[in-house]
Amino acid sequence: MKYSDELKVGLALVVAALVFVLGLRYFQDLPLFETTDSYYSLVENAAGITSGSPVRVNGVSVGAVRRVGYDADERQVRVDFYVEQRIRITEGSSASITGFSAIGDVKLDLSLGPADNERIPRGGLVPSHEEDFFGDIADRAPALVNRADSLMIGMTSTMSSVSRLLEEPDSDFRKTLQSVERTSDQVNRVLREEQQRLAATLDSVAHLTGSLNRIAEGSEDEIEATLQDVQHLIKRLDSNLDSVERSTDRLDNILEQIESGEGTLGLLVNDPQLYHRMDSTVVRLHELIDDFQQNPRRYLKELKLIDIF
Amino acid sequence: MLERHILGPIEALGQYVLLLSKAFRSLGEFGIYQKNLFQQMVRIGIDSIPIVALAGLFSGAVLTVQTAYQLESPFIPQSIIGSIVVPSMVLELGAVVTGFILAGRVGARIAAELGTMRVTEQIDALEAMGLNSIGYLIVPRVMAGILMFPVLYITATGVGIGGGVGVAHYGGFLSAGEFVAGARQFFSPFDPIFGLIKSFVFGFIITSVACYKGYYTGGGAEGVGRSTTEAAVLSCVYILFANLALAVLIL
Amino acid sequence: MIEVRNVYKSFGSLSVLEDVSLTVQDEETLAIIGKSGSGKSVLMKHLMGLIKPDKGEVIVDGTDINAVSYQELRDLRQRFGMLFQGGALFDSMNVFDNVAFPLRTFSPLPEDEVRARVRENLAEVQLEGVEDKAPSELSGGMKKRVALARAVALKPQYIIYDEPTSGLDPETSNTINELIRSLSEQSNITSIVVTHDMHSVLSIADRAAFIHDQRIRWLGTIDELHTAEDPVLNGFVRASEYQIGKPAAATNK
Ligand SMILES: Nc1ncnc2c1ncn2[C@@H]1O[C@H](COP(=O)(O)OP(=O)(O)OP(=O)(O)O)[C@@H](O)[C@H]1O
Ligand SMILES: [Mg+2]
Repeated sequence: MKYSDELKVGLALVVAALVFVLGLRYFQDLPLFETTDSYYSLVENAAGITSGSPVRVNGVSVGAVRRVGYDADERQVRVDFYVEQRIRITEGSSASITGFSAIGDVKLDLSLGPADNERIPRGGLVPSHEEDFFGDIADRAPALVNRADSLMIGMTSTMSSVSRLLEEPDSDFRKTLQSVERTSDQVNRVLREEQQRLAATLDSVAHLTGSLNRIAEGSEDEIEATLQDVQHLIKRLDSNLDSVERSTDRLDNILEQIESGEGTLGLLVNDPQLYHRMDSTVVRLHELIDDFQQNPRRYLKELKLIDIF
Repeated sequence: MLERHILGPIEALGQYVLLLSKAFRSLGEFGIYQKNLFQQMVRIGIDSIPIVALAGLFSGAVLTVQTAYQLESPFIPQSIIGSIVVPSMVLELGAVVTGFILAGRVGARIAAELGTMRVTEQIDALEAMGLNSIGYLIVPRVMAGILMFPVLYITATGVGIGGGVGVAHYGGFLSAGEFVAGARQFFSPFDPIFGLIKSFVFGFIITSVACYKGYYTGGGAEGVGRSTTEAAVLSCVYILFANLALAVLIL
Repeated sequence: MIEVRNVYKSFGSLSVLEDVSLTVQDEETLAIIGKSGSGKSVLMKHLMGLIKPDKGEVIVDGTDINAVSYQELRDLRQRFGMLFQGGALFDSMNVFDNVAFPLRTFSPLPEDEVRARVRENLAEVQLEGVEDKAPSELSGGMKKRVALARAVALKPQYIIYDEPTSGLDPETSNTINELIRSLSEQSNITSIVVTHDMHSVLSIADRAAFIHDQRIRWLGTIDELHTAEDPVLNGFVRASEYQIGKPAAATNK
């Protein structure tokens, strides 16, 4: 009773404001009393990140996402976030969204730039690092399988045209075809190699899908590790398919050149007149050689004539 | 018939809006009402803290137990209880429980107080002295409502979450750590801001409706009784409508 | 000077005042008499703009109080002090704060002077040692006296007393009448006293107005009151004289 109304009211307001602010920070997983710096990042796809999602460095929570919105000027998603002030976000740092939105575990992972680089000013842009992002396996996997499928189809048709070419009976092409053979050998080798690697990769994917199925029972860390493996594998699968694609591209190139009449083989293939001429030349050559074998004297006479000169 | 059921309410609405506009036009003379403001902030706010904290505590505890009961499944992580209880308290229960309790406690009290002042000519006495009775009586009460309801909301919500964590932890449903982890997982910083907005609005509704009912009381003790009941009931009804309207407009 | 010009007032179907005109001169003391329910309190509230007339004007010092802004009306009201019939003490405050209220709100007096003035005012109405009591702890007569102390605290230009002595014992009544008279003798104070107490009328008033059947039936000086030839007024006055200190009974049908 001896306290004045003003004092009571002021105290209540201050305590309430304090509880509010600290509660807000507590549930956002922010340090209660430390100050924070804000930054933003631009990403292609929000991928389930929301305000309140944790911001982590090396897997340790150091801040939270404040706001996620579409930046109409940049045509990208703008993610505003804050981190504890003691974290030095230097030039060369990057941000990426990781985690799997279906289990509500999306985070913004920061990888810090070199420590002696200059600090990115408060409120500045931390560039995003999109390559790392394969979080949404469910979306990516079918696309990859489709791509592999269409590659195989392309390769089959390429191979069949190659073998058609190889079946051309005339032995005189071999020299020219050697390069084709070499290439196709290469392709075969690559394909064999890649098939094994693809198989291994897909095996691992299958294995990991199995692990994912067990996710409900698994601890968060396990899920994390699994997801990272999956990401890694998909990255590898992606690069393998890239190299297959490159080889096939080369093959395609050669065949294209052949088809368009470039190079010896191309000319031969594309000029029937030349083919026939060559053919008849070869026939006559054969006759000539036969004749020489049968009547060497006629030719020796000639040689003699030469001798006379 | 027409007059009673259509024109009557419209006239009342007009009277209410006019009363409030008169009240806020007198904000300039705040100096005179300042003492009153703090007095009302204590009566409406500080004195309501215990009951509001009690209601919050039990809401949080009951919500936790019932959520745990509903989610009893091996496939759902227990921390989900935290993810449900905290936003429920923050978004809805903290503000609405506070609103309902204070509609009774504060709304009825204000209406009875002003109604009695009206029928015993105390309001006339204020006017006769040259005071603006609307400014003097209504502004401090409505302002105290707007300023103190957020405090009560924070009290109810904070104590409610505390009650939830306590029951979860000591009732053996899930540990405090899991509870908090679950709460953090789906925590959106806008939720408590929305709760605060709600409490501002509820504070305004309860105090302004009660002031309106009390200020225009007529007909002696019976009239005071009628105003008091109407203030409490109407505040509750308007809180329900405002709650829906805010959710639709803001969320 | 307060002029009431052709005021009409009715509550629903009940007509209370009809074509009432009345002038209160500066520095006089005017008594308003009339039967219970004749509209005396309603007329007093018209003088301060607490009730608006259905028709007619109330002019205070040249200003039509129902034609000015609320702010101007409030400024005008500060020239008035009013003792309400029921006291109208603020029951959220104790006796001391009730009397101090107008001083604290409208005078620049420092708190210790306010204290001294409040004590003085309460002593004048023979109330001491009740400063800390709540109005609900007082008797009816005590409430009336606290209300009187509050009404006169600022020594306003116009003081309206609505039945200042009803419910008081004859001795206290006399003290109150003395207080009203001594106040009204100070320069620049105009008093309007609503009363049933013919003793009051005779001892303090300069003129009297008699309200009957919604109108001012009779208006004149105290001397004229004794020689008036209005049977209704005479009946009222005579009834009062025989029942000193009590509300006038209806004497005339
Ligand atoms: N606010 C109101 N609403 C409706 N009727 C009213 C109101 N105020 C007064 N009246 C009516 O007006 C009439 C006059 O009332 P008023 O209080 O002026 O009487 P009075 O002359 O002061 O009587 P008394 O000597 O008993 O005080 C009464 O019949 C009363 O019922
Ligand atoms: Mg009266």
